[in-house]
Amino acid sequence: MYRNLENYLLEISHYLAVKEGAEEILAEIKSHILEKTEAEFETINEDNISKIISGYGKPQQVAAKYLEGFEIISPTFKRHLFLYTGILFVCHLGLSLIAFLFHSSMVGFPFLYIPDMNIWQFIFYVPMAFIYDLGLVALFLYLVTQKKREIRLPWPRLFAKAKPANELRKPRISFMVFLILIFLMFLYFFVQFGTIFFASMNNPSNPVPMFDRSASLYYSLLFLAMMACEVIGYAVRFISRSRLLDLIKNFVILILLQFVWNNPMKADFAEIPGVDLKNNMIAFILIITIVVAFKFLRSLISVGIQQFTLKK
Amino acid sequence: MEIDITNLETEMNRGFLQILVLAALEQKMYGYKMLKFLEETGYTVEENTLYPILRRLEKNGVIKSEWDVSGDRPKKFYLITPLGRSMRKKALSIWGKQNDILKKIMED
Repeated sequence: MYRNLENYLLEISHYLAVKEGAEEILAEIKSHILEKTEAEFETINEDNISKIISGYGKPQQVAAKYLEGFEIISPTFKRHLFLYTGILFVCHLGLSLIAFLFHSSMVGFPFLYIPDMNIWQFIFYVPMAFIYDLGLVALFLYLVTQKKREIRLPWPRLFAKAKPANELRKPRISFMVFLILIFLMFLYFFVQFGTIFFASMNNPSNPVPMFDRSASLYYSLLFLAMMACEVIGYAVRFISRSRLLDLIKNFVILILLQFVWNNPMKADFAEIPGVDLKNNMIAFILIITIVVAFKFLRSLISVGIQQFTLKK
Repeated sequence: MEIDITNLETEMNRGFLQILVLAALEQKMYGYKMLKFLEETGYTVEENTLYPILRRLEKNGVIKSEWDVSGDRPKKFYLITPLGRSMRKKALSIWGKQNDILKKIMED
């Protein structure tokens, strides 16, 4: 028994993922090495065997030669892997956002479980969701590859031809000025009256705030931060028109919206006869959330699909 | 500038080695002996290349094998099958045609 030879064969066996005959392959390699050692050195010992082993090749390379033609995933599915992962991830992220914003969990046994998450859990969940989706698609393509039948997988043109992550439209100075003015106007309201939400402005010098003071402060600051994101996002376009920046901006706004949704309307609303201020406010925030979520997913598709499919 | 044709040589050898093995295995041989036999004819092949090819050919039924355990150590002997002879004939015919085409192009 030669320890180095046994170790060498053992290591080859770790990489030798053949369905049958692995022991026979190892026996043949062993027989060959011993035969060659004897032929070249006359004496078989560990030192001489080591010299022959070094010429035979690294265990991984040796095993790889037996595995030619046995792909885990067919190379022809490479683009499918990234395209399907991109589509699945966008759906996954969309559902996660809904679960996150509405404080609910989702279960689609055995493939999907989205828990009720706080902001930090959500941030950590997103990359994990991507890895999970990649694994799920890889598993599917592995099974298809192992079937060894000619299976024609769908190639969704809608996503495959998704607009490439070309640059955003060129910014206009006039619109930039308009955005800044709007922001400054709301900032003025906030500084002047402690809120940007009003139930009535019939008396401009003394408008009626929509909520009590603490709620006004909370929601006004959040919405001012969102507006600041929009202004900064537009201003950055003068330097870079990358879609990735747009994606980041929308993500930040979604995070801010999460703080709005996670603090249900417990505010004391001003009372105006015939007007349901609370429901109007919820509808307003819902519309903003849908628009931002849509913009976020559109940016994600544009950047993600382009990154993972067309450039590969 | 020296041109590296290692990859091309490897690709070309892949098919050629199979024909060589089918030609050599008219007589029963085990792996190490076959390597030596091929070396004597001027053809050098890496041992870790030969054995996987032998296994693939055996799986396709063009060669067969049997273990001889009578000696100092067990040896796996290979021999061509009737299917292998038929394959060798066809392979040589293809090879001949390829050579003719190449010659014709080079002459032109």
